[in-house]
Amino acid sequence: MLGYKASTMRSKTTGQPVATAPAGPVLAPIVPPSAGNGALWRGIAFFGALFLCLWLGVDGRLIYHGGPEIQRIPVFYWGADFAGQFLGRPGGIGEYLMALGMQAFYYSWYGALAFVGTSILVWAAVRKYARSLGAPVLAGYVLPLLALALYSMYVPACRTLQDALAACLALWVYLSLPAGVGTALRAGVFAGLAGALFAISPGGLLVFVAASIALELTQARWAAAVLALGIGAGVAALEGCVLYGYGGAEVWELLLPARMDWARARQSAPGAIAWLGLAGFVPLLGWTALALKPFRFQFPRGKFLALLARRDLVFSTSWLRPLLAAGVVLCVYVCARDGHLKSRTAADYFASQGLWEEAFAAAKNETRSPIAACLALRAAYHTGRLTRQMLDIPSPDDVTLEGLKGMGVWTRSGVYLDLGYANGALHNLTEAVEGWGERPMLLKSLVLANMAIGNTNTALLYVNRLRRAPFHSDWAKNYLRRYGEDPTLRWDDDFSLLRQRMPKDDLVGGLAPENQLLMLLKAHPDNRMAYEYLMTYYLLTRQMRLFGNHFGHLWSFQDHNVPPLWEDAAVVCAKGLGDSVLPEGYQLSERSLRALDEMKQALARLQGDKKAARNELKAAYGDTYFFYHLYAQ
Amino acid sequence: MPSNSRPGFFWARLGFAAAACWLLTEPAPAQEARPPRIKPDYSGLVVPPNIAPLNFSVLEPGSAYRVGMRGASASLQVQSRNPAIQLPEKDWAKLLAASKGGQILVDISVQGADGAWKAFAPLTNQIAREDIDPVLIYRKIHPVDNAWAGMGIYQRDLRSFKETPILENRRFDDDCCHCHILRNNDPATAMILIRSATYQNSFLIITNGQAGGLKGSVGYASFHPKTRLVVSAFTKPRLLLHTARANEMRDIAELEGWLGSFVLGETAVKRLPFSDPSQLMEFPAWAPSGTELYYCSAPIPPATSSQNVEALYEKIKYSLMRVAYDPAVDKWGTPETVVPSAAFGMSAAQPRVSPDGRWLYFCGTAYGCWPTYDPGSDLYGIDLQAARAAGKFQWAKLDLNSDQAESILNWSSNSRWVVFSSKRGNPRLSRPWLAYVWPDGRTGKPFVAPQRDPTADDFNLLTYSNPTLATGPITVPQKDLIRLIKDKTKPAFIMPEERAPNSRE
Repeated sequence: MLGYKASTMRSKTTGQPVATAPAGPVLAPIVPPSAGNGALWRGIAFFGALFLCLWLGVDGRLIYHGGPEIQRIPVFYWGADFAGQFLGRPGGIGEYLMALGMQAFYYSWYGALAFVGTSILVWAAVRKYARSLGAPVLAGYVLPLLALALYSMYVPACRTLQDALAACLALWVYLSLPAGVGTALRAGVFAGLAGALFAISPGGLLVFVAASIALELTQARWAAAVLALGIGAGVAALEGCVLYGYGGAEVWELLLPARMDWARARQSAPGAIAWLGLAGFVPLLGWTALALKPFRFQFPRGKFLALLARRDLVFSTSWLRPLLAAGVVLCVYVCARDGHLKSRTAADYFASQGLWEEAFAAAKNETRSPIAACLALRAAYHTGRLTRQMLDIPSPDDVTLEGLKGMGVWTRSGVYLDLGYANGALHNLTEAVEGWGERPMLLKSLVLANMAIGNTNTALLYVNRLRRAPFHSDWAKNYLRRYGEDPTLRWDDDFSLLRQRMPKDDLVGGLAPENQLLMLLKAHPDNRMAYEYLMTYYLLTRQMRLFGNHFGHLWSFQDHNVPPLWEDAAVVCAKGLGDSVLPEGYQLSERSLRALDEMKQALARLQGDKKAARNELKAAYGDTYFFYHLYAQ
Repeated sequence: MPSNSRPGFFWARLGFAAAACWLLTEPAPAQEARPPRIKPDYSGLVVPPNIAPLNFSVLEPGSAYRVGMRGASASLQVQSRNPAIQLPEKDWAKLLAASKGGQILVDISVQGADGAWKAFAPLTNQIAREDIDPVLIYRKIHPVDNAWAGMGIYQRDLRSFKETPILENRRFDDDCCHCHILRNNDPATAMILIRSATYQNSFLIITNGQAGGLKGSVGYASFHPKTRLVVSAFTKPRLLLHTARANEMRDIAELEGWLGSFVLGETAVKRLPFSDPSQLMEFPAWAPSGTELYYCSAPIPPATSSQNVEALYEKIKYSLMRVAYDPAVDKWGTPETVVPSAAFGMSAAQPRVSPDGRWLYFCGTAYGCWPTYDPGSDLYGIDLQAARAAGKFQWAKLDLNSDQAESILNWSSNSRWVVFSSKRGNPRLSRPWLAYVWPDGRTGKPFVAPQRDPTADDFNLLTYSNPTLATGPITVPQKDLIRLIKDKTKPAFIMPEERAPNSRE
């Protein structure tokens, strides 16, 4: 690249222009397709589809929200103190800008638009580069597709994207130098770009230098390739060691693609492929191969294949191009999307917004995951389903996610806040902030938990932090205004409820969910959620005696209608342990008794073969507690 | 050319005169009898003569603010539309230098919505004659540091607002760096401990400005002030969670704790002869003479183990102990009790002797050895000179305590200043607080380390632990420390064969 001056490629030995593509079925990629309307419509279709997939398919709000299973989404705050954390280290500027850019996902459409905008920049840069290489300009579409694949899997891979974007922009600037620029000036610009890249995104420097070397090799300019390598290495060493004070090994580590992103991406094969591509390995290998051995692929003989290989059909038919481009985008999205993770993240997102019906709909089919099971139970309580529908929960401990370390703290903090266990929530939220960053959603919950505990100053500290968060400053200002008007917080219903429900017994050590719920109920016998959770825990664990012992507490609530599920459970109690377990005077439900009889008869018809009867009984009695009691493991 | 004949000086004088004329033509402000409310509360302090500007926010409502500071022979003026007042650094330094040993008066006027100015009663601060050590070293972490994310040890030049990292964990896979200690406040000899899942636990030792590393784990340690001996605690902490503790659910109980020593440059650890297996031992701290070692010790409750520690943790109360040491022959004396926990009624922790040997300050907490998690923990002091004369130790609570946790304290090298961790004003987050120590042992009103933006602590979500004063910055480049952490070939500690007889784990 350093020695590349003219846009017309000439043979090094003869000085004649390089031959253009031969006719026939030989697909010679050197000829760039015409930039007519067809290419324009293809671009519009491609980026339009990209936008729609990101906006409606991936749903950028979920990426912004993050949730327990999506880590390393950068947060952003206005102010010198936040910016100061990024300055003074290689890549800090790029991380700061990336963090700012990622805030666009607060609105799904806005995030999709920002993504498409950056994709167009990347596309333009790679296209220009591919042209210079003599490779197919369609290569410009590869990186946006790979990024889409990662986003469809909710692997934001911010560092890797940052590196790719920075490298592409540097390439674009470099390739835009006029043909007449001399070698010395070109080398100077190259060094300048390398220096800027190291400061903005060191991983991008490696891609930039490698891409430049690949280009030089295409032109068989060995000296220029070595010079590019030397300048890249020199700039990295000088800037890293002298300017930033890093050790040689550390500088090398900085140049490598982000290991953290890789750790998440490699969990699925498409993720690993997409990450490798985005990190520069696949395109570079491909282009280097192109550079060293001109691409002259012979299509196999045969009428059908020959038809497929007809360039005029694939590349020139105006109606097919846009369709194909949009189809490829859709195909990548469909193949890569992680629907389960999306549902679990959506459940957490809706729960954080108090949209419980939506949260339940998203979580109910994902209860194999402890996170989703916990969210489903929480949403079931808020939608009144907890006492009417037995959810398929793999472990009863999932009611409060006790014992689930790591991801558990995020979800557990939400359950604790709902249950009124404010100090437990505070501890888990603080730990979540350490793990997931100062995410505004977590900070808002911390405001509530601290206020409930009486830590006004700490709560206000979080409010002050939120004043500097894009999209959340109005909330914070409003909170401060209302707090200024009435510091007793009577206007905040959540606060009043939490303060009443605080546990009073100081027990030490990790508590099992049952003990936690009993503790909360003891502190505040009107804590309906703690009570329903406790009874649900007994039902899930089939501890019928304990269910019976606490059944009478229902009548201490204003609304003491016995829900159908509990009517069934009371029948199981009475039949198994005797009437004395139940409150005096309680009449067993006729409906439940009838259902139990019918279920017994149905089972008897099948000679008591539980396994064979399962499907039949599920269809008729799947929503009763009898069915759960019979089949739960 | 004489300095006052410079054109710059002329223009400055002209500007000053113009400002004075403008002030004289304004109507005199209304006088308010009370002093203004400011945050941080920088009033009634004894201030080091070498500290950065004590910037503050005026909490009185208004549309404009005037702050004037007057010393014996210097003054400064600031006018701002923002209640967050940032004082000019050079003028502030001149004011402090001119007011050493004297007072400065702080006049604050606030312009109301009607355009009228209101002047408050002046605030007074005293400027000490003695400097504070110019560098403050601390660790910044999240209030719950389980994942060790975004942690680092930093040094702040107290004469300015410049903060530089000594070691940031983002450069070594987000592992943990903690418990930095210095010898005699000298940055040329220091130790930093590393807990690492990736590169093994280790500790970095800086001697004469050169860094070395050893594999292994130590707890709180103390450099002998005159020899190459280091005494360290070797402990096994266990995290406990309280259900009803409002601010801090966490608690720590030690299941094991003994004292060992090693010599700088060598790798063998020796168990100290008085390290009694029936006792938990923590927090070694040398007296500046090097002939006495202070530490904390508690009898191990019967059958303490990880299974029943929940039932026993409250019974573990440490006494403050002292043992004589003869460095010439490396011989230890018999331990004596300085503060018995039974008489103290609390558990003693984190003792520190002033560099002049006069004062022994320590923490008192309800039980155990983790005062930072106990809102009731306070700082106490003993006059060692008086104790020698009277033959008994008398302890007293220091004036600088608050209703929140006060914990780890460190001295300035001239014994006139202390820095300590306090959660006052915010029970979740520790900040470094500074205080003057009068020759008679009284302490001045403590004040939080100043920030360029006086509101910075209002939105800073990190906590500052183990604040330590140093006579200069640690100059070992961070890259050297990182290289040592990642070096898997560094030598390992050789622990005594009889590791911990009191351990039942």
